Amino acid sequence: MIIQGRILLLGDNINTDLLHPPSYFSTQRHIAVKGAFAGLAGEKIEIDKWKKDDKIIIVAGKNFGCGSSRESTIRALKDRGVVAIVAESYSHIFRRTALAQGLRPYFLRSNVDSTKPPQGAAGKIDTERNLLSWPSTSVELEPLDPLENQLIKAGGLVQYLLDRNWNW
Amino acid sequence: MSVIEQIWARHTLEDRDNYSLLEPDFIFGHEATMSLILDKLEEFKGPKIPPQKCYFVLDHFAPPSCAQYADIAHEFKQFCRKRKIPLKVYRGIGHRLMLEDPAVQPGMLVLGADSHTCTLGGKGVLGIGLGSTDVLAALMTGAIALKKPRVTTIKITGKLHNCVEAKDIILHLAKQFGQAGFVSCYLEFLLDNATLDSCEERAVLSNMSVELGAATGVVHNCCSQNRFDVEVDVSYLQPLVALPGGLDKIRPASSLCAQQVDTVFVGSCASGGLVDLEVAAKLLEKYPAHPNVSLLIFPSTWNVYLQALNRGWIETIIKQGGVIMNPSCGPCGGIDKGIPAETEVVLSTAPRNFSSRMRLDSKVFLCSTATAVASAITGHIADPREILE
Repeated sequence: MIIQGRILLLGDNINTDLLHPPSYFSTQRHIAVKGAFAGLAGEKIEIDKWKKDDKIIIVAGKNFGCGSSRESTIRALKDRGVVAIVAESYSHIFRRTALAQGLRPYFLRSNVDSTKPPQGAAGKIDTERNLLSWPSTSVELEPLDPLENQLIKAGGLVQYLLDRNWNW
Repeated sequence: MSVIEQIWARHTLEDRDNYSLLEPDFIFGHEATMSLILDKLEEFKGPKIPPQKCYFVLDHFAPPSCAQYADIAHEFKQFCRKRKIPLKVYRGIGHRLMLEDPAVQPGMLVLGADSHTCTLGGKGVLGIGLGSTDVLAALMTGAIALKKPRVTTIKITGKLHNCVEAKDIILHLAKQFGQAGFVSCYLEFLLDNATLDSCEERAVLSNMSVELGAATGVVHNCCSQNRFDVEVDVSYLQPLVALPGGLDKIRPASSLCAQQVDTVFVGSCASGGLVDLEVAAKLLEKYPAHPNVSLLIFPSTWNVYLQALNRGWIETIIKQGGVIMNPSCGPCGGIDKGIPAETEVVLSTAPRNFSSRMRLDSKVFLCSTATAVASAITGHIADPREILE
């Protein structure tokens, strides 16, 4: 399967308060989505100028998603169009929560600084070959493990457990 | 085997490849994170675990400061009543209530819908923070599948000098190793007996283990057979401050005396304990808070408040210009009382000072209680040792 999206290149230690500030917290997804990336305004990424229906592949450095466990962050990112995340490393909670929400969180096999994609470049993830590509460059991704693949295939943890009658 | 691995093994129902299926003793939740899964719990008629295994609190919107949060808090209260699940309403910060609660014992495993569930490591509990859907899964099945831990041990030796606190140990580690220094590690802090006496102080180490990138942290006493990966002699530490935006820029408090402060926030799950109220009272006994500084102090639980009251510390703090707030999370997460103005500078004892947390583009410095209260006295960031000289 090929996943396509514009690459949103982010650095190290991007925390959940930047990705979705607490002031945008809401249990209503159509309200919460307005806060997606709202804390990154100072990073000069200008994602607010990207089209609202753009699919997004986040490519980040170390410790992506650190900070609060607020799951509303990941829901807002998904609703804003994030289709996959590729990072050097993740917060433990964030990566688990992404999988639980059916969002693929890949590890890079090498440091992205050595082959940095341009901001906004057209990106593709080949889920069979575990490759992230942008024009003229590909980098390898660590394959998801069998349980992670099952969670993604089911569309998230709730459906995975429902299919197994709430048994692990 | 490390303490973490021992607790892990005792709670393992089954091993599957690099995962273990674990059965927790308690599952923790509060109104903010639980609000995201109440609809699913209703749909699937959960939780399916005994109510006494649910440790639910109302501590974030406590009491609610706006209509949206009032509705969220009310919905959670109604849900717990319907399911006959005990709910601690406005009794204090949930992690700190669990620290005090004799029902939560060393050696237990607690899963929590909050990233600071690791606070419980201060009393030798393996507390693992998770997202709301993971907690939903645990509430419906009584178990969770987690990847086996990679344990990293940090040996803490020496004795903290006057006005140097557990928070300064973490800030020192952040300076040395960075916010991603221990990504996905399970941290085990091994203490010399004399280093940190109280559970509250130990809880600061475990609480802020996640701010160093770790999955969680547990604190216990060192014994001669322990091997370790990192050693820190705390005898050489001084009061430190994290500049706004995270823990990637740490400076000595003494180097920041040109920085004026508007609000000083003493509280959160990383502070506000009895030891912190004592520090605040002892400093304020000598000098009042600066007239230009709002000193907001949130005792972490009503138990802490009452003990501080009995010792005369609450009276001292109030008479010397401090404001005593009700036990709750306060402005730490940007969702309760004490939010700063756009241009205000805050000095905080909370575990986090990310720029969009307390409010968008907030300017929050982070430090220990002694440094915070000393700064509330001088009106600028101050080394507390200079106040006491």
